Amino acid sequence: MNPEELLYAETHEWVHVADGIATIGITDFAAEQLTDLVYLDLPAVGRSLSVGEEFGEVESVKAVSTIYSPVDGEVVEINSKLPDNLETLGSDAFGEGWMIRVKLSSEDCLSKLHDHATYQKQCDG
Amino acid sequence: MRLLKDLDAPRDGATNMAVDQAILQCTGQTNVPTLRLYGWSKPTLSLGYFQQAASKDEHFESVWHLNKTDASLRQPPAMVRRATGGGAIVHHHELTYSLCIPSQRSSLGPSETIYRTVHQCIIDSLASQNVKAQRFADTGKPEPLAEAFLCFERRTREDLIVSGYKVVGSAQRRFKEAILQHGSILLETSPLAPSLPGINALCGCAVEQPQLVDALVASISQAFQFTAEAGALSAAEIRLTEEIRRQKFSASDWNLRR
Repeated sequence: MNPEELLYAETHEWVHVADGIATIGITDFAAEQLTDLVYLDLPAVGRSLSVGEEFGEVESVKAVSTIYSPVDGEVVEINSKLPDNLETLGSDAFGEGWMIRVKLSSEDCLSKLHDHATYQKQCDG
Repeated sequence: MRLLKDLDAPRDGATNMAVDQAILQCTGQTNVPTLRLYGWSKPTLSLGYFQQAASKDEHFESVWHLNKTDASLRQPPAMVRRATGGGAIVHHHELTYSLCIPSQRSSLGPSETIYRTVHQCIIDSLASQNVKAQRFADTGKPEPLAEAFLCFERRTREDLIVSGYKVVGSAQRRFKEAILQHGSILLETSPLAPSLPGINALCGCAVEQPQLVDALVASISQAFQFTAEAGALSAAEIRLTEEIRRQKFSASDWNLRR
């Protein structure tokens, strides 16, 4: 995925949409902030998500952080290899580090997401 | 800063964890930090969020085999799974604290600043009782390679050490616009975790808990530039606590999820 073509939530999730399916992960900035990752929980396929709803949790040394859904829809696929290969979040956050795929219930939620430039400003700020 | 001292009315494990979570969830809306100091109504094992529940069995089997004359050790203690990570903790003879502070929604991962600041406050508070504690990072010792079942047998940089033993460990959890840090100050050895000496055994002293609490409140207030005011849980937090306790911390599908 080209980061410049993705959409972003202020909570550091990235989104790529194609044919009504959103592929979602967390940014390399987020992975760096989380520091040494030790565990990751992802939702079950079939689960319905709403914008802002927690869909996963990640443990880094000394802290558990929540991952929030940037879209409304149903989980249709999860990256089941990722929890056993957390280093991927640091090395390829926008590629093999994808977390879930969601079938969108509508594309209205996408208008609330940021483009790359806006997300970068948030991180720089 | 709201100060909650729950030491005279200790709660069970599920309720303690539910109270911490209820405060965390409300802090983003109230924008008021809360420092809570509390105890446990009975010895309780808390598992880290990602730990395997079955791993406790081996620990308590070995504890029983070490001291079969103590019938109280035959049954494992009550158990609750925390929402924070790390290893298992036997909450028995300790002072437990939680600090919830408002933060930005976009903040991620651990807050090293809060860790270090709170742990420095604990170092200073213990020093007022003539107990010399230091950060593990300052001991010059390497971190153990294997990950132990018990939190207090693990070592990370900001853990606090007395005479080579870990006596303070903490963990954090973020929720929207707030961050929770809670931790245990191990005062005495528990027969349920005999490998972990408490501060009193290590120093040959008897830490005065009320004075330790007062010193800790004063130190945290100064370090964070908060003004501590005695308070109580709000009606909303009480309702939320009961809901969280029922749906999560007392539910087997939460506690045995792994």
